[in-house]
Amino acid sequence: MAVMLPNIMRNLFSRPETRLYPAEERILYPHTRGHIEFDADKCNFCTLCSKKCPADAIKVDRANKTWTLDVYRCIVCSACVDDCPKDAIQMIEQWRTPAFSKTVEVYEGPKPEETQPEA
Amino acid sequence: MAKIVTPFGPQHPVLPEPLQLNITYEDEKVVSVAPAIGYIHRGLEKAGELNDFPQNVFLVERVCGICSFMHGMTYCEAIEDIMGVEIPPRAKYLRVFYGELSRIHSHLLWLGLLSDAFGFESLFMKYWAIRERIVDLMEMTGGHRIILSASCIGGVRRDLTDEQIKIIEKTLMEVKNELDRVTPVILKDYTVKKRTVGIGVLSKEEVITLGAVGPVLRASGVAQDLRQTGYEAYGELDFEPIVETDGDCYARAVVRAREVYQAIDLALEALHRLPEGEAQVKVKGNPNGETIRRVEQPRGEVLWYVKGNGTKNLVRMRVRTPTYAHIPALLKMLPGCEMADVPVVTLSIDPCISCTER
Amino acid sequence: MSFEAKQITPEQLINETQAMFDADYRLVTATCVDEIEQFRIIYSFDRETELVNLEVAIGKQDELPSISGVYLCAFLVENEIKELFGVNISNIAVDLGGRLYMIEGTDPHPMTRKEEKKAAKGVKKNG
Repeated sequence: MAVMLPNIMRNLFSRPETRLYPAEERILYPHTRGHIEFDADKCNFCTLCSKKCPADAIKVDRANKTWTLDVYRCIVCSACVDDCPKDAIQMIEQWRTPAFSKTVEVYEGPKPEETQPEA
Repeated sequence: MAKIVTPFGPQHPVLPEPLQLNITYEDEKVVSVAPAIGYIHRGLEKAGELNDFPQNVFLVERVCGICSFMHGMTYCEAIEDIMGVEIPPRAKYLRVFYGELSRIHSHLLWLGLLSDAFGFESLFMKYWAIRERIVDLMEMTGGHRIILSASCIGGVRRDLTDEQIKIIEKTLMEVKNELDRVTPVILKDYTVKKRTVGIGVLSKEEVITLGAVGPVLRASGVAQDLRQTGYEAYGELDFEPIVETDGDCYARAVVRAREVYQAIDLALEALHRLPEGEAQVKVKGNPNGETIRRVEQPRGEVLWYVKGNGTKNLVRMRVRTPTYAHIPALLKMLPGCEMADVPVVTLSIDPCISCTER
Repeated sequence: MSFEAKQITPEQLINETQAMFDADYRLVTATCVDEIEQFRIIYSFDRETELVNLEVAIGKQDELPSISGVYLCAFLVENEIKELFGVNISNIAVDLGGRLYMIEGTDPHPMTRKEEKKAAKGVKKNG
């Protein structure tokens, strides 16, 4: 028992190890993988991110120029971020907040101008 | 007196893993044990055949939460071995560093759980408070707290900057100072010794025929550590396996407590010797062939068998984890001990049931 | 590639395993690979960090003797191979009767493969 007693006295007179949440928030590191964000203006719809995703969370429709993310399938591994040739996907360090239902995010790229061929 | 059969697990306040042991008691002494597993069988070996082989790195890391980095590293080593890829020296030293960090965090978690198994909750909280520093280091460098996703086929995904290396060295020295205050409790305290000495004994011959691995093997006097084969950069680092001779639960706790110090020294040495260069190479093509790789995980020896046939999907992916090898040994250790010793003996093999059932 | 294995027949299996036991080898594991026309089972042994492999090739309906008479710890991996692949292993020391992982009412032997995937595009998991 004498071996543990110094530890107990030190615990009694020092500040607590736990964080007083929600008064004190946790500091996140710059490279923490929180969630991904997509910029539709930079994307060229090459579908590389959809092929590399291990969880099948990204679906790209080349003909209609839509990019769909199933938010709650994503495992935040950043395989899509590393391989995108146009840097259209960014990794942000904030984690997503809890929600009541699962969501799917749909983004649309700029549609091409429709020209009628001359008869 | 009559015999009664009581289930221990899968949900039990002291047992941290979903394993069911149907124990037959006679007057509070254990007579025989019948295990039942299968609560979290996910079929990962079949799922590995449906994915592409680079996507499998993320699947393989999720076999187990605590030893996740080593599973990813061994799978990448097996694919690199089949395809004949040579990774740069900087990547080898970085994999050694992450591996030793993973070993420190796993052993600190186990030491906390062992203290909780015989009711010493203040020690459990002290060990887990020290473990938080290591987990914060993993988030700073790798990205996530436990499932790092640090290795990829061809090396390591992210490199370390000089500023991060200074912070890591300072934190590891602080962890060592805090451990110097807490480790004497597990090694010398009278109540700890009363609960662990002479319980769950395995002799040197039994431990080889039962197929035990890792710290359980080394606590019974067999000096075998797979890091001596020299995979990654271990061939250039200098260390000896830590061996005890008694073979009871106390000897296993001593082996793991001393391995934490050895792992801190190895991690610091790997950082001092980090060579210049890039951290990964580009890999093209598909694997065609088969191989077997073994690595020393915190719990013991893990074996990976991978076979590919030239397409993007693998033919077979097989893993044998250390806890799988310890379940037959558990059936030999339990008969003869008291009812209150059952959680201590079950925890002394460091069970990880999600590794066992995949 | 670092994989060498000694080929043996099912009749030689028990004798070779007994020789390994007498030479102080520790059983590591048994791996089963389904190669459409046959099963290949690879037994791995270890002594002082040196690995030795023994390989047995059998047809899909053939019988294989169990090595749990020599190494008792092999009962767990032989139960798993019998349940997931359907290999006919006889005389296992502790036979769990196909109820190690699977519950009643599921399709038996899920790890067997039907055909060799030769095309460049693999099959994706359904979403």
